[in-house]
Amino acid sequence: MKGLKKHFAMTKPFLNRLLDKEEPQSVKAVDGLDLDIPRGQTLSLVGESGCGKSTVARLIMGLSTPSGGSILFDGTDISRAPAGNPAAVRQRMQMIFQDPYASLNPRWRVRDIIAEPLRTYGLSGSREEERREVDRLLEFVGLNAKDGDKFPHEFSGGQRQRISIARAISTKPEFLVCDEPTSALDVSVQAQILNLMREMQRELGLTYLFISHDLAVVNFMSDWIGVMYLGRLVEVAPAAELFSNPQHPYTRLLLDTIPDLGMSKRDRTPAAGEVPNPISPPPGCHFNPRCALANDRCRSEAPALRAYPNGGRVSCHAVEEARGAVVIPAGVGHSMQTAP
Amino acid sequence: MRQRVVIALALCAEPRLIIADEPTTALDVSVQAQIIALLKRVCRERNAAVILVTHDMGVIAETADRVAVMYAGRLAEIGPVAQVLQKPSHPYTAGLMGSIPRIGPRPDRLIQIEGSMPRLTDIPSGCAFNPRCPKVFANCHHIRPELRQIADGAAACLLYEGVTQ
Repeated sequence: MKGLKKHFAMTKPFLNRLLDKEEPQSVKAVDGLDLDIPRGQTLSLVGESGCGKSTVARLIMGLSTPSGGSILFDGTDISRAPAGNPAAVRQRMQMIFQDPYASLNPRWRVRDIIAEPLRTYGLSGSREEERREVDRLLEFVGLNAKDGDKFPHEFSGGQRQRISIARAISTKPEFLVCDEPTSALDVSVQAQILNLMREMQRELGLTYLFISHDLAVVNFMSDWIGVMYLGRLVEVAPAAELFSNPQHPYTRLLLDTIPDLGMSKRDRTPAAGEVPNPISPPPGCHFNPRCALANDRCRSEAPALRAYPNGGRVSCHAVEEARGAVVIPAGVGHSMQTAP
Repeated sequence: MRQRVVIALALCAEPRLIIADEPTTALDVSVQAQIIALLKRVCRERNAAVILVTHDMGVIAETADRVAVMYAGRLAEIGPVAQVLQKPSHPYTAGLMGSIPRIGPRPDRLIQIEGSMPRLTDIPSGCAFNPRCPKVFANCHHIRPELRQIADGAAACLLYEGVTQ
């Protein structure tokens, strides 16, 4: 595997446009995304709700079909293949879902939940072999082999997420899509799950696409970070670079709004405005109504991702023109550094 | 926007006390910052007190004057926000603070509290935290600690009772 490549654009038609006799509308949930995930590393996608992070996950796993573009996994184009097909490729990729309460079938025993992917792909030999494998998986994720005979409701949120992880790694995948795997969990449980995921990556050489809105979690997990805004990628950079030297005004805004444990009672700069309606995003750069650096070009022309010497890619006219040196007007109240 | 409406509703009777139960948990960081700023401004202007219920330490750090840490139905620690967050006295608070991922150099592992919360029908005798506590000793299994003054706060932990063996 030389690396995963995905490039897709999609528009989602609205179901009831026939009934309403309106012009066909579309939500560009994911609007032309270019991303590579190097083998054995973690790329995280961050952004506010509705920016298209989870849609990317669903597209990759084949849970919805892209309207354009392609998804390449180890050289095989899987963008048109439904979930589970082709089996030889799909069993090498699995997903961990956000909600450990909704993603496990309450009527199934844990043993059957974890064995399901094995059965689907015909990987389990005899019942005895399957049993041994499930026991091994349960112990690997820090549960007891005896837990296999219980039902999901007998477990806490953190334990359920361990079950989800055991299920996801049962086919010995190389690539895991993790959609907000810890957002439903308390910090102490979150630490356990994140540690487990990092250990798994070290031991099994896994590649992760990690989706989260928590930047501190993302900092702990990632080699690369992609920032999404309204279906588009605004910045991709090596994780350390993104935190130490964010380029895109939206990335800076996100970093600015992180609650700071060290600086007690600081007045955070509240980000002005909310994410616009994705059905009618503003023309040009989608971020322009909230951006302090926006000018006429930003309001008419959509910026493309450009590569910069620090290894990152940024889509911003202001960064390209080094307009970032401008002191932001009062009310936003801080200055930004010059872009390289 | 919905949370703003809820805040408006809560304020319309000019309350002296506002109880905010996880007001920002379902929100994105950028909106969360707006809501917290709104809540703080409103309280300053109307001189209302706030009980903020949350598990988000970042929100606590920016918003609260005093913090109370609960475990299995009892107070484990209470005190000024700076003391509790930066110099936690109770091992549970220390574990919680350590398990929070932070911005900055990327560690290989987060500190984690082993095990999970006891079921509330089956709280261990002595200190409820004893099965998970890294500093547990014999007395913890049979003496239930009371809150004891430490600096400007208090913690319920036998380490501070002077009965360590």
